[in-house]
Amino acid sequence: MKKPVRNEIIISIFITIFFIIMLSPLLIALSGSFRSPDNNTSFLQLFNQFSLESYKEAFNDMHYFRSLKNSVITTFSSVVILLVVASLAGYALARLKTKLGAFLQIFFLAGMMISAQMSIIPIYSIMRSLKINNSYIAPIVMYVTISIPFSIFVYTNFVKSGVPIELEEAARIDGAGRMQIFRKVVIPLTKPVLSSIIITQGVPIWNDFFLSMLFLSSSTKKTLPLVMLSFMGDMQKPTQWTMLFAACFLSALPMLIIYAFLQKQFVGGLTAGAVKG
Amino acid sequence: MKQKLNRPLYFFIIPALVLYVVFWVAPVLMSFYYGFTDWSGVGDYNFVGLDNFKFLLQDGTLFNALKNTGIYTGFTVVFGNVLALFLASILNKKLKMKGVFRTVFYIPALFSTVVVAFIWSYVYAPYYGMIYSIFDLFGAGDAAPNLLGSTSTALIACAVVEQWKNCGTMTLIYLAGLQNLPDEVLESAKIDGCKWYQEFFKVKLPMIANTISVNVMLGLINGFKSFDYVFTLTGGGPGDSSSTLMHSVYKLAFVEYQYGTAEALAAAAFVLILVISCIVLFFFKKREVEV
Repeated sequence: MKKPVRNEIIISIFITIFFIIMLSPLLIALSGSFRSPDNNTSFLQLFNQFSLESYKEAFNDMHYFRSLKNSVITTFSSVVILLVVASLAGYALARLKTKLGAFLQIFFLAGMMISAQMSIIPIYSIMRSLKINNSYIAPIVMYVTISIPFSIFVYTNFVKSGVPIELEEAARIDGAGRMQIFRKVVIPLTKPVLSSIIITQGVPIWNDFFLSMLFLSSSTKKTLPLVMLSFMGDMQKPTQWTMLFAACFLSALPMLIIYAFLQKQFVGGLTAGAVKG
Repeated sequence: MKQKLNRPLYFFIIPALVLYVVFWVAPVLMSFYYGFTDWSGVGDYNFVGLDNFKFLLQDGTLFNALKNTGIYTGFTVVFGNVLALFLASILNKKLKMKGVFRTVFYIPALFSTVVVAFIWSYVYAPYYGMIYSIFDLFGAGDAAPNLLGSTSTALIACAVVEQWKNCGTMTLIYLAGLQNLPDEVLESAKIDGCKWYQEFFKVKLPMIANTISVNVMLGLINGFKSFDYVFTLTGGGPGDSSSTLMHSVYKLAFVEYQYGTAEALAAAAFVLILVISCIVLFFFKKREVEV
């Protein structure tokens, strides 16, 4: 009886040490963000001062609420459109037993091998000819598009293994059409994979800077990661670091708050698609 | 009857297909076409055949970018999966603190790449960064390595950052895979006198092959497309020592205005990624065991 307890303590200590090493950069940054900009002591002296001066400065420089609003608009719209588009297509591909259906599955999956860096100029000129190259619409369209391959892939797999076709047939006998079956039978049964899509695609969309960098050049439309990117030049000045650290945590704050409340959904969503698939 | 019922399904696919073809597939095909031209990004261009590919081979850009991407991907995939699997096996034991560990593990994944780049720029910074400060604590500040500023370490330093951010996610995915294993099988393995390593390699690994293949595939694809940390931390430097495929494509197109050459490189990269992904997928499909 004694041995398992001792083992548990050793393992817990090992993992705790591992965590401390892993999280030390974050801890130092957090402690640094609570310093006033004129504090010259080494950052390794953790939490030797508590001041919100750096946060105040970062908050103003980032135009925090404006950038937050921009991030929320792009991420929220992208994820909602993605859920509709990908679940419709994913469901159809799971139920189409034709050669065309099989081809389309692979065709969509191949999109995961493409990277936006490969084709920026054509993407940009398409957006320009649609006259949406300097609006939220362009990054939203791109975020939905780049998330389509993976989302369809996990959704199709989930429907194949998790939605009994008998249920759909029963609904069909009751006179339901495809759209009704999809809305009333399939959607409720695929909630786990929908939340998986929200987590696995929503977090990277929230955090992306590359596509918004291309399209949201006017300063009033910048998202949080874009604002951070514009601070890159300040890194050369060591005295700026308390403000930069504060900016880092301000920009991560919304995600951290959501995570604090929805931990279970995060961990569950992360693994639903990958393990079942 | 069945035909009539299935017809709406094709309409279900249309929105996704339109977006995907117009904004993802078509631009890439257009780009690959530019790979055979001398287009600079604006204005007129001439068709130059395979000159761009020849240039990339002779210039060494192709080889350098491939080598760097290979090292980067190899590091994140091999080291990342071994570490994640190891940590997941430990966390899979019945621990009181398991919930806390699991929560903390995912935190780095929540930070955006730009923020992560800022924090790690501080860690690596010469003269005041975290690594320097720790060396300085022991009076050895002069011996502190400038990891991002040296041609031999810049690339791995970027890969470490990527690893740091993704480690939690991969571990949690493995943990879920391990927790899904049926207890009866593990128990009967114990009764048959399986040693722990036999249990791990002969029983558990084959049964989570599906999870492994998902993690390896995602890791490979992410590695091949690696751009963010190289872009934000080193800008591909010093020299071209940390320039990955995607970063080289970006740099050729937007810094050196050789769009045609950039797209030739992108096309070569795409074909390569496709071939390697297919080989890996085939390898895992053969080894998968139904749970």
